[in-house]
Amino acid sequence: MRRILALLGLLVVPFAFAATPVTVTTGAPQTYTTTSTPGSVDVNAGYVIETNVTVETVTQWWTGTYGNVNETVVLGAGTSKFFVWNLSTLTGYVYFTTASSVNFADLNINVSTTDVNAAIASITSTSWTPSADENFEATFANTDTTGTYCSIANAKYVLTLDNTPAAVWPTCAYKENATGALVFEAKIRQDQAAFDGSTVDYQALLPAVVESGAGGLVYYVWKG
Amino acid sequence: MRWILLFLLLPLVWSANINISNSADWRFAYILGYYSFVGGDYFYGLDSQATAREVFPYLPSEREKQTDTVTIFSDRNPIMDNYDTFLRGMGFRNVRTEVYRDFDELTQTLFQRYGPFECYVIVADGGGEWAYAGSALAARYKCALFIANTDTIDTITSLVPKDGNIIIIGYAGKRLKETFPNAIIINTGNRAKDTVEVARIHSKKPATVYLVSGMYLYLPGHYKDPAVWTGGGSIPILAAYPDELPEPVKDYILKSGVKFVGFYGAELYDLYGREREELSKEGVKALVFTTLKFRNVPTRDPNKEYPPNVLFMPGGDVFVSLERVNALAEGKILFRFRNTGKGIVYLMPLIVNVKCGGEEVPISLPEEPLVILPESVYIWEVSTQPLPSTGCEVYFEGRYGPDKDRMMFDYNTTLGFMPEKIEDPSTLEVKRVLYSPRLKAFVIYVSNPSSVKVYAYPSLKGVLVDGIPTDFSGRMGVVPPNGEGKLYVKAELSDADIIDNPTVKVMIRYGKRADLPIKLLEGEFNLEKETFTDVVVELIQENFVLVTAIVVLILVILLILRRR
Repeated sequence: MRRILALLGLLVVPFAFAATPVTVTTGAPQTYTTTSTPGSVDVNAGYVIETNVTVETVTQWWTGTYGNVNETVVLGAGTSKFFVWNLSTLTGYVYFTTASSVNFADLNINVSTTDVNAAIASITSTSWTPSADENFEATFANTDTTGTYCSIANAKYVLTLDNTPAAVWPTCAYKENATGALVFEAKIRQDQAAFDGSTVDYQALLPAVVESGAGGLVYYVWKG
Repeated sequence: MRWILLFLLLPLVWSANINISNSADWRFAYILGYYSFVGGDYFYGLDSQATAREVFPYLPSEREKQTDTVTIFSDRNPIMDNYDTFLRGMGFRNVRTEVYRDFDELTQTLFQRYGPFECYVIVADGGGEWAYAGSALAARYKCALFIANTDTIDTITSLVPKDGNIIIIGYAGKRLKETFPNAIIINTGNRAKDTVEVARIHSKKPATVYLVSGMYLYLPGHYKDPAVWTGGGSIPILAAYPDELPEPVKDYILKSGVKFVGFYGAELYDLYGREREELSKEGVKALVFTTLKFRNVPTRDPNKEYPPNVLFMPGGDVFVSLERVNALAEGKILFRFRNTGKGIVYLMPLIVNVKCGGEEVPISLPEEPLVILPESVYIWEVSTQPLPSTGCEVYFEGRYGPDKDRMMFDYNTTLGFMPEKIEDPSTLEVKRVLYSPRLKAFVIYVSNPSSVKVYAYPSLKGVLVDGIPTDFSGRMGVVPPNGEGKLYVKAELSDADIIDNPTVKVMIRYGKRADLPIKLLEGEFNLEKETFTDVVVELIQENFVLVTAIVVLILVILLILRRR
């Protein structure tokens, strides 16, 4: 039985006639628009008034990614497909690594803000220094003791939101012992609602730097 | 004062070297990426002008653009001209360019720049699998790395000590074997098995291995990442093909304590999908690398996935097409294939349906694949029943690839043709075959006793080059009626090779029409080496008027002097 995985809408064909071997289809970039609107308070002498203030700002230290994983079973010869069946059940993880060569057998679950800063700063040449409310420990605040969300027991994870909003999409964090490269693991949840209500298979939270003058950051995407 | 000095020196302390490969030749990028890794410098490989303009300039921070030194390594056919000027315009302060003739000259420079080395890995040119496996091994032990072919052998023999720790991976060739008799040579006859043997030297029990097809050189997404062909200095790299996980590789994975297998590249998606379950049952987790995501690169949509940059390796640079079909009414069809790639193509016809006026014409398929040399034409001739002079159509389907065992690409096409009745009185005879070291070519002396002009396509079969049977083909030559001519077939032979080939098999397809060389001359002929006399005779023949004028002038001068 033959299987083909096509991740994120990639056309998975040997590329005898293509200069680059993958075709990709993805959505348009999005960013959060704050719902805060300027308000005013009437203050009259002789009265006491309660004023609650809500402020939303867009994070400068994290980035979200989400999408679909297409998995098929193929009958064919060589690279020619005779018939293709879509798999009804998707399993596994989507990985995002900060290095091209990662020794996946050398992953460590003890990731900290210091580790993330070291890895991101080494690539972007800009410090990754979110506040204590927004740093790695505050974000990846859960430990997967039961192996429910992560492939390695006791890894730190975060649950990002669907559109209800409920915290349901796990992202787990690791670092490579030898190099300190970061590995983020998003568990596949087939055909579930993403943060914006669209139906997707994974959603992940990754560290990033938005600061002007920072260097570019590249994540390598794996399916496993 | 001390603080000011420290402030001034800080950029120097922090500055890094970024080496950029500006060449479409995978070997150039491969060598530069490797030596940059062992030398502790950064490396980035261009594969297109889009990458050069839209990605690299945004990877360093603004500070790094001021402090780091960017060196652009170009060959004579760069991907982007004047790239240094472009980068300066993008705010890079320290940019310079080094131009090299080819990857061989680059290797010589980098060997000196990043040496000395205590071990030497030599990979045979022509095998992407050997290249990946060899560089991962070399990176593990910080060895010098070379690519061996007939052009680079002088470099290798001059730089590598004869009694050094040397590993030669892939086809070694007689001269390398003789020069380095103590070298470990890994050449089992099966490239995948070769990569397993290399992995065994690399690590006793590797927990993670990568699999590559050897069709593409995957360039780093970011210059701060080591090139994947170094395996980060710790990961062995083995061969796998889009349609097959070779048995020796699978056996090695399952029996060597491997825990993770990284299928590197989208061309291995099929394979990953097929093999991951079985590997998983054996306790081996499989992953497949697919794409890149960018952040802080304004020309790259942060929500998009982008394919990695690649350069074609020999196994991937194979393109074949059936460009024309000609037929003779008496029962002969000529299929003209063209290989536009830089790698040899093995093509196995699987279905050839010919119909003339609605009637099917039986075709005998070959038992062996057709061999089409790089950037050349091959004519496959098939004898048939007499064909009617009506419109015919052929549906051709076949599989092809860079090796007899790796014909993984499918090709099919439909072409129409009209059988012709041709009277072709052309004839051709081979008079002499010699090899010219001066021209780096075989010269086939032919005569045409017929009364028509002859168009001839020469080729040589099974010429021993460093002991390996090799085919060569030449460009079309024209021989005048009742005249003589020479046909040239480019090839590089050493004196030892000439001795190894006392005779050569010559095949010349010819005819009175250039587009329809319906006749075939085959034979085995003695091979001579070009002598000084041959050179003089050729010079005289080719410059007859000039030589005659000079001789007459000398005679006149002698006559005048004598009279005085």
